[in-house]
Parts: sequence; structure tokens; C-alpha cells
Amino acid sequence: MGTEAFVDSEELPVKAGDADRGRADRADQALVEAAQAGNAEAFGELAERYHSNVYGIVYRMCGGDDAADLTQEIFLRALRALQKFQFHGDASFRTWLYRIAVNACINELRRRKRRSDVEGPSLDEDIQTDDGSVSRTVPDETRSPHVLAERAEVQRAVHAVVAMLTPKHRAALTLVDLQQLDYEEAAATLECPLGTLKSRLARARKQFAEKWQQYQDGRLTPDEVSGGSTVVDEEIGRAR
Amino acid sequence: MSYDNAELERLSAFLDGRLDRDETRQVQERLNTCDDYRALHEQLKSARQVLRSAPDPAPPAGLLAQIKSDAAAEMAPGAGTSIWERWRAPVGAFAAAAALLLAVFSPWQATHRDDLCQVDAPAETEAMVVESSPVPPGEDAAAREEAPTADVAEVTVDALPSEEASEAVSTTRPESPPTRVARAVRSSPPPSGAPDEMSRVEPEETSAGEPPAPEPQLAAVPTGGATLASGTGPLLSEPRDTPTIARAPRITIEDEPKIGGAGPSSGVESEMMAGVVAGVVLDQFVARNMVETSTTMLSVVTDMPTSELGPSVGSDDDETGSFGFSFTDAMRRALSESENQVP
Repeated sequence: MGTEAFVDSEELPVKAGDADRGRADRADQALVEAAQAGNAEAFGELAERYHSNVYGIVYRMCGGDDAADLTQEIFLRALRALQKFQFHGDASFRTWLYRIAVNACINELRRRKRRSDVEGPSLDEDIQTDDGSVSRTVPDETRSPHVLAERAEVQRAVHAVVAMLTPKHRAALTLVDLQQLDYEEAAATLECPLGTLKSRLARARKQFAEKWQQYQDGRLTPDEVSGGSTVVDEEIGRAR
Repeated sequence: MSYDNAELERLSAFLDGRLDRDETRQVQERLNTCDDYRALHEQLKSARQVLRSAPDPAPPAGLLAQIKSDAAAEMAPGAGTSIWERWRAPVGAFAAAAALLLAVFSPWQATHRDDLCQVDAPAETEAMVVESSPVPPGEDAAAREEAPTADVAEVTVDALPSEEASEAVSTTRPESPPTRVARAVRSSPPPSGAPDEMSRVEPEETSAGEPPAPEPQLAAVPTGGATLASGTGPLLSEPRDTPTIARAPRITIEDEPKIGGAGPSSGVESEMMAGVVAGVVLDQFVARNMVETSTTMLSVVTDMPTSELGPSVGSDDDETGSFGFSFTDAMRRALSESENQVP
């Protein structure tokens, strides 16, 4: 099966309404079945459709440093598990793929926690330079409005605040507000009841709003950032 | 600002338009009357707007190409997507564990073999008795009365406490049952219908008022009790005045060729070595048959008989890393019918 059969699916939006999402799911089904039959090009089509969103989830959940490598690994995991996937009921390839991505992110955060436990805290340590010891600082993107105006800086600022939330709240916020999944799909991705998703989302929004306000007011210090990370790390073990 | 979690969730859902008409009206009414509630609404609305308007991080150039390249390599014939590639580690671990267990268990089994088999001793004794003092069928009781050796042997065995019997058996470990049977057959047959020499002698010894073989003697030479059970007949070569039943089997042991080597310790060593060799052979067998093993495991996972999964060994055995394994259509169906699982 060649790629010609999937041309009509390429223009379908990933972030779409129910009708469009139904069409996208049907197009995904053809691609998935072709990939399950061994068609590498079909899997490439799926990667083309979803790699940006998966990368976005990874970037928001784990930061940008290893986002590309982790995204690559997620697609490899999905490929290896593709034979187990089947369309039944409301099963959606996109939800299934996002679930792999979220789980991979949580595992990555757990791995980082183990590594930091072994190596010890680093954010609070001074940096040793030729000129002596220099305090480690986090760039303050909030004090300069013209910097905030730049999209990349806004992106980094949002990520810095989102990263202070617990993994559960971070995942809910990432899927619903940043990836703009609907409640049902986000709950399916996180494998939690709809009510739980609503609760996590509301609390995540509240926490983000408070931290964001502090960030904009310049009241969020580097120590609080690292402290927030510690709280996040403590939550990782209970995240799944 | 006072609010509970239910109000926070309702307000959050209100922002997403996820409330029904009545709930929406209730929220709007409270927003019109409560400043704190309105402030909370503004706070959440602002956060939601910031998040939703934040630019998506652009994936780095080359990421998609790398993913496609990975997929092509992974799905290429003979690549690591075979089920064996994923099960190699578990199967290898199983083989190693099996080899280790075999290596450890074999010497133990060798040491305790006779313990395990001692329940068979009475049956073996009966067979030996029949061979050593042949009597016509149906005359067992009379024959036993006429053949006191056999009776003594049985009594001796029965009289031994179980611990002593166990100890006795363990000391005769190098002697194997087939060897004893051969010895008995070779030495037993007297003229049909006539009591053998020992049968004639021992009753005289016991009927002459001599005390039966003292128990300390049996305990001191524990092999007698146990081995007598299997060596009842072959006492023709024993000096007639030898009062103990226990010495006869010892002659039997020394006369017979050793199966395991020069002595008990070397026997254990050789059996231990045999266990290790068996473990290695098992390991190699698993390695050689890993494709079939994978098929078997696949059968277990999918709950389908191996025969229905079809042949798993392809013709591309010479391809590196493939081990000749390939999915059959039946395998694919079986796997696709299983539940979707996230790795």
C-alpha cells in the first residue's frame, strides 16, 4: 500500500471539532492498518501528522532540552506497540499516541529525579568560574516587556511556570489548554475519570494563574523555581 | 477569596462552555453579585488565555526525517521488530535460570535419590524374595515360613526406624537398584523347590537359641538393614557363621562395578558436572530453538494453539539478527485481537 491512498488525510486538522476529528480518526485508521501490515510510509504519514503535537507535549512536560530525543523515542515505542493497537469503540490513535507520550514524559521526569537524587541538587549550587563562584540564576523574562513580546520568550515563560506544577496538573493543563484536546480525550489520554480531569484542570489553572501573576510581577525568584521543581519531583512518584 | 473546589471546577468548566444551561445561569448570577467570585473568574480566564495563546514549540528541523528513518529501519525485514527481539532478554533469563536450577538440583537429586526412592524398597524386596527363593504361585505364605532368610530380611527392614533406614540408604547411595537386581539374579537360584543354603543355615542359628542380631549391630552397620531388603538372596558366598545380616550387602556393593566413579564423593562431583553440562546443553538448546520458543510464548500470550499460528521460521535464516522469525498472518490476527496496550 503506497502513500497515494492517504493523500486525502494530509490536510485534515489535528486540532479540530468532533466532525473533523471523526474524519481524522478514520484517516488514521487507514494509516494505522497499513503500518500494521508493514508499510513504513504509512507510519511516516502518521508521524508527519502528529510529531508536532507530541513534541509540544514533551516540550511542555519535560522542557526543551531533550524534547526532540524523547519525541523520537516515543514514536519508536508507538511503532513497536502498534501491532497491539486496534480500533474499537472510541479508540483513537491520537489518544493512544498521546498517552504513550504522557507516560514517557512522566517516566522521564522520574528518571531525572533519580539522577538528581544521585548527583545531588544542582540549581542551588554556585557555578564555579575562573573569576570565582557565581550564583546560579534563572533568566527573568518578566522584567522586560519587550522580551515578553517575543514569542519565543513567552513560550519559555509559560513553560517555566507550567513546569512548577505537579505532573498531574501539568499534564491536564498541557493537554486541554496547550494542546487543546477536549475533556473526554484528555481524560482518555490520562486514563482518569472525566470528573478527575475537570478537578485537575481547575486546580492547575488556578495554580498557573497565581504563579504567572508572580512571574509577571517579578516576585518569582530562582529559589522558588527550584523549590517548585522539588515539589514536582516529590509528586512524580505518585503520578502514576 | 472564599470558594470551594466545586466552585473552582464549575468556574473552570464555565470558561470552556462545559456547563449545562442551569449551571451556566447560576454562575452568571453569582458573577454579577460576588466580587471575589468575579476576581477568581478573571484570574482563571487570564490564565487560560495565556496558555491557549502561547505559541506551540516548533519541532527542530530534521526531527520528522529522523522519526521516519527510525521507522523505516525498524520495519525493514529482519530488523528488531520481531517478537523475539523483544523477548530475547526474558527467554535468555529463563534459560539461564533453568540451567542454574538444573545444575544445583542435579547434585541434590543425586544425593537424595535413594531417599526419594526408598518407598520402593519393599516392592523391590518382594521381587528379590521371589527370585531368591522360588516357590510356586499361591504358596507364598508357606514358602516364607520355609524360607526364613526372606522373613528375616523383611522383618529387619520393617524393624528399622525410618531415620535409621534413611541413614542406611544414604550410605549405600553408590549402589544402584539395577546393579543389585543383577547380583541377586546371578547368585540366587538354588534347585527348584529346595531351600537355599542360607535358608537352611539361618533358621538353625536362630532356632539354636542365639539371640537375634542385636539392634546396636544393625545400627552400627546400617547398610545391612536397607540393603538386605534388596540383597536377601545373594548370601551364598557369605561365610556360614557370619551372624549379621548386615555384612552381606556390603560385599555386594564392593563387588559390583560403580556407576558413578571411584566413590561417593566423586559420584557427587560427576553428577554435579552432569548437571552443569545439562544446564549448558539446555541453554544452547534454547538458543538454537529460540524462534520456536518465541512462537510458544506468542501462543501463550494470545491464547492460541501454536499450530494455528503457522510456521514461524522463514527462509531468511541467514539475515543478521532476524533468527529467521517472521510474523504469520495468524500471528498478526492473534496479536491484533489482544487488547491495546501501551508499552
